Amino acid sequence: MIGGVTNFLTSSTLSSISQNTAASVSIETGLKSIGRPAFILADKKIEPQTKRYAAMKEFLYQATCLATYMAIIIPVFKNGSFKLAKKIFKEEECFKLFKNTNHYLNYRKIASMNKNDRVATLGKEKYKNMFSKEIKDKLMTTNNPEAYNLAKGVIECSNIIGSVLGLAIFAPQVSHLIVHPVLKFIGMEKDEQSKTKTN
Amino acid sequence: MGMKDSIKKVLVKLGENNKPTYAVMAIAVVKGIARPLFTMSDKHADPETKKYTAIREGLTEVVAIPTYFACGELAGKVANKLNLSPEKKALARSNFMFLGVCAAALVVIPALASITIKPFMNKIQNGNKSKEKINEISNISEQSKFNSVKKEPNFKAKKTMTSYYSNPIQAQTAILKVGGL
Repeated sequence: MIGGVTNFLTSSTLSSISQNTAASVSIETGLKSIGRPAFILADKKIEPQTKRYAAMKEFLYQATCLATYMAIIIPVFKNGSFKLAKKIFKEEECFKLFKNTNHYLNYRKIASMNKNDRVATLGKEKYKNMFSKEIKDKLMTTNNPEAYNLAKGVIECSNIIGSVLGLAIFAPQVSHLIVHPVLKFIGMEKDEQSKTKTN
Repeated sequence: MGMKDSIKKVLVKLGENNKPTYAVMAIAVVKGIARPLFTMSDKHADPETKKYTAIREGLTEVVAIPTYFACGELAGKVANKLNLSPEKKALARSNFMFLGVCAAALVVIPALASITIKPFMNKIQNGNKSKEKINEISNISEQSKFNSVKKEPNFKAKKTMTSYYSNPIQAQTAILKVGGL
């Protein structure tokens, strides 16, 4: 049991998620979409109908923010930043070796393994034609292949900028357009016509 | 050292160690500025409601920023105290910080916001209500000087109870919402 917990807490997979802005922000937004409505529903001082309305509104807000972030913000900033960095840091080796973000991230993933695992992974069909001979030699022969932290820094910096613009400015506007029609559709919010009828 | 070199240095550092607190704190800072501005620029909302919502939104992020930092850093310090090899310790530190930030998002911030913001907003609301009541009383007494007969003396007092919100659900929702729209 303790061994399992220690393995989880020192897991390299969890570490790569925690070092990846897009993944960690997505997980946190997902948690918010559960945690915040749960806190509203747990409030005993508020009447049940109001609680359900507020919790559903909060859930829809966070869920649409997450969907917008994952569908638009991540792909745009992920690919755009690498292209821009290729122009700004054109003399840097990492931007000459790798075509795009995914190409570099695949390299980084393999470079973090031990030598035997690296050789075995490069033998798999998926990776056979992915890298040039120069990169393959680096991965197969060196003990600690270069991580090219500049390329990783560019990706993470653009993810942070994208997350800020996306989650603080763009996604709330999108969710504002979606939340009220959805609440009306599921019957939790009355439209103007039915309001006047009831009055 | 040129600007390009300085940027490169920062990017390399970020590539080496991207703390989970960086992104969430940056998001919270911009949200703390942008959301009240968006609320205040809404031309359809009642001015008092706008002010109330904008203050509440700003305060939520004011609570969130130090909480994210504290939870992340404290969790990282716990990892430092574990009896692990230096390599595992580095992994554990990063993982603990991430879990600390997740705990902040899931439990700590909503709880702190409920504890601190709700009473604060109630105070503001009560303060505004008492100010309005004083104004109403003075208005009524001034009117009574000129009008000897007043059909409905409680008319204004009734109106103030609902003057913040157009409907009761909206009124209660605005008070209980933790960080919503």
